[in-house]
Amino acid sequence: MPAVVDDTEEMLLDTFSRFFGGSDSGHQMSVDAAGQWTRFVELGGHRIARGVDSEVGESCMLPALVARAAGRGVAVAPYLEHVHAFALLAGLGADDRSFSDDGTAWTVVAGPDDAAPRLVQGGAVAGALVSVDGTEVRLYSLEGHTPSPEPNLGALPMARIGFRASTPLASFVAAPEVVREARADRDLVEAAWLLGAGEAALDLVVRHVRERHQFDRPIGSFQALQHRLADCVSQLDGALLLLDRVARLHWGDPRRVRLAATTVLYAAATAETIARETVQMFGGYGVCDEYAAPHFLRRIKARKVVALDGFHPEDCLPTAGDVS
Amino acid sequence: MSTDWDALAAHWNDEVVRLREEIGYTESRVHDVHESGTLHDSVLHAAMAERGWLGMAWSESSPYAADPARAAHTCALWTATNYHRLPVDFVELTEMAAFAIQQAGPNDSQRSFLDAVCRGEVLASLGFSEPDAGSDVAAARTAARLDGDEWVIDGAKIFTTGAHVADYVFLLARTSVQPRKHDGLTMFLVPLRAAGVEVQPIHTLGGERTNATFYNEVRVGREAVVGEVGRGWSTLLTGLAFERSLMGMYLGRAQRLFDDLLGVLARRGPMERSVAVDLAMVAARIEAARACVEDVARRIVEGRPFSTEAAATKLLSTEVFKDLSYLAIDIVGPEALVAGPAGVLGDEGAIEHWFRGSQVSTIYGGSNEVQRNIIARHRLQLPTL
Repeated sequence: MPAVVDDTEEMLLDTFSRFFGGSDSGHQMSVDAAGQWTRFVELGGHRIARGVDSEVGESCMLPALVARAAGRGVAVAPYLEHVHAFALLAGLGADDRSFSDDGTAWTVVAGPDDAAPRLVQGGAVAGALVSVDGTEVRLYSLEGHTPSPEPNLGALPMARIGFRASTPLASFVAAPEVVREARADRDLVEAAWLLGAGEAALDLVVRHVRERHQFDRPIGSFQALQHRLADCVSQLDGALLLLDRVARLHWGDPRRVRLAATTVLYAAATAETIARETVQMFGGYGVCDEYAAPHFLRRIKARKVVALDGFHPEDCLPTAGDVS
Repeated sequence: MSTDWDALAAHWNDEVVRLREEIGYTESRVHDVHESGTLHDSVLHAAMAERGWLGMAWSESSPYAADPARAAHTCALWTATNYHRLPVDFVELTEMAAFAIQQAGPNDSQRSFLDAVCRGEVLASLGFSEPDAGSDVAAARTAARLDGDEWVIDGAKIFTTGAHVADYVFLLARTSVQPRKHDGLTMFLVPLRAAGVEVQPIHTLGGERTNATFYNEVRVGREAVVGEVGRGWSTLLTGLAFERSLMGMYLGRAQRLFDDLLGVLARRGPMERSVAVDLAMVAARIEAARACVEDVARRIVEGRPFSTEAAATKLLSTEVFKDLSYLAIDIVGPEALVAGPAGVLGDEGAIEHWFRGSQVSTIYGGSNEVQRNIIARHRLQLPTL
């Protein structure tokens, strides 16, 4: 595997991979989201976010590892949104410790705080919300407000939330770079989740093509499949190496925001390709709900759409002055 | 080992820019060399040798011999030279042959050759492919038989790029017939001026001249054998692995075309979203390829296996380079079809030239289908037929 992880990072990845169930749990489409978040908090997972625990440091490496583990298993807890929220809080200099200690799940929604209920990622579990409209940032408590989850393709814990039903906590005007850097953290954990899911799906399909026999031989011996899987694993390895490189950059590094945008874009495309191929190579079993393959496709496709919501392709391009 | 890869890349970019300035290597001169089809320039070659850039990854007499990151320097150098479109193709081929010879344990004659490589005095071409043995290179039929103290070589090679200016060909020949075709092969370092060698041009889509070479009763001494007789396959693989470690060259080319394309589009005004989406994906693929190039360099530096990773690096970097060349023409439109300095990139090379030149990237150096076979077998442990 290409990931360059030290012992601490390996332990973190293993711990949370076990927590989320790993690729063997892929036959499950969903678990109880609120219950999973409670257990995640008991394990201390909610503290692996910028500004909450000093050991997280100035890079996004540790949150990315937890997110990758989440992607490998059945993760419905709104950890990715939580990381984004605390990146904003840390950047704002808000008293994020007081926000974090009670284990409340935070989420983020972009756009104006208008009256119409908004579709909020993690909204079915979150107890608090950060609203970002340009550089205006407002914090809301969702306590006592339990919206029904919206059934969706990827079993994501999303819900419609009206701001009028929420309790304002504080408001800030953020420096534009804080919003961008926080978005970079979000991009990186989204990328890590997608790649974790892609890894698990690829493990699944590679095992399948080694074991499944047709025409008196393993289907994995057919070059038509081998070459497509070689493309998949090469893209996955490249994406993991890119993630590793970018997730280690510190806040404020001039390369970070652009490279984080390229990382999530590449990760999303890679994971989707793997998910498509997984379903295809499982043949008829690839569309049977009792198998994991269709669940990976649903989860990855849904998460890709969420990850790239609000994505600006120009963010991936060097500015005019950078072009030689 | 910790290496700041971005710093290394910036260092070698600066070094290459400085070299260009010092030897007066203008874009129009680059253009002329590319137009000639012979991607070599002796002044540039000598200047690289003078700076100790040749043999950097393998020569014990290199100024970089004691630097544990010498392989990383090499990757960064070839990325930078290709970014700046320097005609170093034949130098790269020579480095590949020299690396394999160094690894095989050179004799006195070959040590002299290696020293001359570092001084920029000789060039070598690669005699692997044959008309009926392309990707299946172990099916080589060119034969060498021992006659007294001499080997006598008969056969034909194709895509012997650079043979019309090189001094040697690093040649794969069958020296015995064995049940397994990978056995019984031997590598030779054959002077191209030897009697019986004939070089015929082959002109290619990218404008580059390559060659067919013919060997008719070519006699060489025993010292021409590289490594052990009958063990040429492993020597060849060493060379190919080194070649794949140079895949930064395609990264450099892709990055250059990408940057030039952005420059053209910036002059045209606001970019359509669909174009920006396509270019964003190219940017992302280039960054992934860069991460792979760095990983391969790190593996070489740390003495870890890198052959499978190099195959993936070749795959990612050449596929994005080629895809970008198609995309660039589609985005720019008819202006992209104009050849030479009259095109939208001016002296910096026409987009149509990039397009033509990129096609071979997924074929040379082991076709990408071969790379996929390697990855399927060694990275995924998929069964073989």
